[in-house]
Amino acid sequence: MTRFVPNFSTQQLLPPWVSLGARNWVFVVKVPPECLQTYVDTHFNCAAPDLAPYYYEPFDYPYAILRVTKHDNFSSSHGGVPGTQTLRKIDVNLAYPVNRWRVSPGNIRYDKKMVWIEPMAFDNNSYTMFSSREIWGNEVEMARIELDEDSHPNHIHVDVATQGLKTFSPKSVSHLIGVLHAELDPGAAVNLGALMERHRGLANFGGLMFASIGLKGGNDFKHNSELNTLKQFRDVFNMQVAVYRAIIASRTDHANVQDMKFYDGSDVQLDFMWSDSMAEALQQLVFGIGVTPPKNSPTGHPGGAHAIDGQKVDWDLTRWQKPVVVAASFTSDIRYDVTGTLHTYGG
Amino acid sequence: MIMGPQNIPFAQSASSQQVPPPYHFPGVTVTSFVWPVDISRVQTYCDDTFNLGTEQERGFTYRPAALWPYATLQFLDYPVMLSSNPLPQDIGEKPYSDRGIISQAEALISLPVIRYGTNPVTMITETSLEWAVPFIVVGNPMSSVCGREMLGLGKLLADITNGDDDYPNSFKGSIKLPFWPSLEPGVQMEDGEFLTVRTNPVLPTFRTSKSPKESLSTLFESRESALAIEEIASYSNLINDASLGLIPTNMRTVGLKQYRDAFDIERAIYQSIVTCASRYSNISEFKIFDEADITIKFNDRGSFNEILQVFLDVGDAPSNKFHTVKPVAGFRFMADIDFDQMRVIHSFAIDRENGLPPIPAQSDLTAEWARPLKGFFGPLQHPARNAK
Repeated sequence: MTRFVPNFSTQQLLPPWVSLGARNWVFVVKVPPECLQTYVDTHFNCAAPDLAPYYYEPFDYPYAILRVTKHDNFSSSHGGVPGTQTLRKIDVNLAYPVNRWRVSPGNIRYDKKMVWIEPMAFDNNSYTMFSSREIWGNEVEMARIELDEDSHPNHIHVDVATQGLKTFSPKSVSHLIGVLHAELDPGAAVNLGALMERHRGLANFGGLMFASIGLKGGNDFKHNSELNTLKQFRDVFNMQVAVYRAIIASRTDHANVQDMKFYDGSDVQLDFMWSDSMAEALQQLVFGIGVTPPKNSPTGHPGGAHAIDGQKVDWDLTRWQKPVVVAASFTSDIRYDVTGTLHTYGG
Repeated sequence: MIMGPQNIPFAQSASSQQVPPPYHFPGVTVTSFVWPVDISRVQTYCDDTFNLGTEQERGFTYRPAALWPYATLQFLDYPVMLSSNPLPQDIGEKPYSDRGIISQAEALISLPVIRYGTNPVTMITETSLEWAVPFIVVGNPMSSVCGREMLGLGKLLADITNGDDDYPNSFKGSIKLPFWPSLEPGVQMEDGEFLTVRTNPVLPTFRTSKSPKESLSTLFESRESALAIEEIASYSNLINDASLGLIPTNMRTVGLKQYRDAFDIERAIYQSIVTCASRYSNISEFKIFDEADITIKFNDRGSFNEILQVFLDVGDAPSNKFHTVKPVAGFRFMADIDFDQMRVIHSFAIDRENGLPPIPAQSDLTAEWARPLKGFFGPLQHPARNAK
């Protein structure tokens, strides 16, 4: 076995991870059915140069979930020592359920299973960002994230900003630009039954979404919560070549769920900020290939400029609103485990 | 050049955090401080990081450069960083060199090491002076990800400040890093000041605590340094000649690029030694600080101790005090920096999972000066292959 050489720059937050009392917000959005097909084809289905014995396809229901999670007691349990390297952080990701088929050598698909993928993710802690990318293979971007839950009862406000370029041009200067703004201001109690009737497939999607959560507070962790990521690293010089590429399987399991609340999507304002740095991801994963913001889209952060962590954020961007179907919030204990490497390319 | 045996394509995306080399950084302000380093710590770093496996297997050994037993701390302020790759990267997106620029602050500590070939021929053709970078922090997330994932530099993301201290033309720099004040479970991460550097104004100045010295001259009073620079007559020559590669104004950095298995995290799924050239040009505004008035303080608290053990004479447990080093020189200049010639000079053998065949070790160890000869006479054989 070739031993990894540990040093101070690589030893942070080794898996598994445990987050106690994490606050979760989940926003369900509709996505065009063709969204994601390109992503799963380029990341999981293509020959690289060999084919993985799996085939991924977007799920039947055209929904994705934007997850915002505030961790106040997040740590590594590596080596069986809980609470190692405890930290606070906020992460935001866009997750999709996909069907993963096993594929026989004769190209027969069988053994269909629902798994999650997270093609867009942000984290405001550099050590967990490094570990997510370098161990789990999750392409997480470092971000400034603000989550205000305390200013008004039941009212939350989320802002995400990253280093990026408003427009790709030789004279453009990378700086902190807005990526996402969300505000939840609950009105009347949500009628889930009416929502399910109004939105085709939402009932089934909701069932999938919460299949990974131990709603009764149990700790059995036997839920359908597998996450698949493409772990890849570039060659030192050739941008087109990977020195390693593999599909990694992991689990994200919630337990001790409390304070579950549902909200009507109309109570949520969700905006993605349009920039060249974000264009590909927003088109491919949220709005549709080749689609651009409507000409009458508003610009700027609602309520004016807004700094995060004392850092000035450029919100002078087109704000592309995304309707939310339904939202939920809850508190839970979360455990993150790597379960294995499904396929290593280059065999 | 070592090519991976598998020819695996990388799944491209416009939001990738990695920018293709080579890089061009014009107008960089470089502030450097030099202090004596414990050679045994450098040897330990070489053994732990580069001298993996047996000498016969890898065909080289890294040792400290006894000629130059100093560590160099550099603060670099990059107003413009851009990809200068003239070749189309063919990733289906706008070329990176046309997308725009980033700017950032960076700080690093470099240690000179020498890679020796292990037989009489390779001792000549494959011996090379390189600079290990055991500590490097940057202020830009994209730079940290790119450095870690492409170049094998363990870049941490930090809050770096640098500029004038109280007096004009002085220097004050600091590095804030996330750390754990105690290694006990349950202790929350904090942002803490890892390093502070303060100076008086550059020479000549009346604001000195002692009579002004020509600081670099005192550095060169050491026997080892004098040997290295005996042909250098003046400071301008020092800079123009880049001091035989010993002052890191023209350096090949060396790093261990490695990734761990997701499930068995003690196992490496890729491990190689990568070297890169950083070349300084258009050097101007070279100024010297009086070393008697330079204060460099490292914070030996909590998890910072693990970092300090690599290059400072600290204990195995945090002292929870500041550790002060006594510099022998401090200077500042502006330069254009080009960062190129990235090479994998040795990839270690990798055992693979899921019944896949192992990847054998490969080497491309020819020293920089011998590469034209290698091109003329043909490739020199790796000693391991000769042994077969």
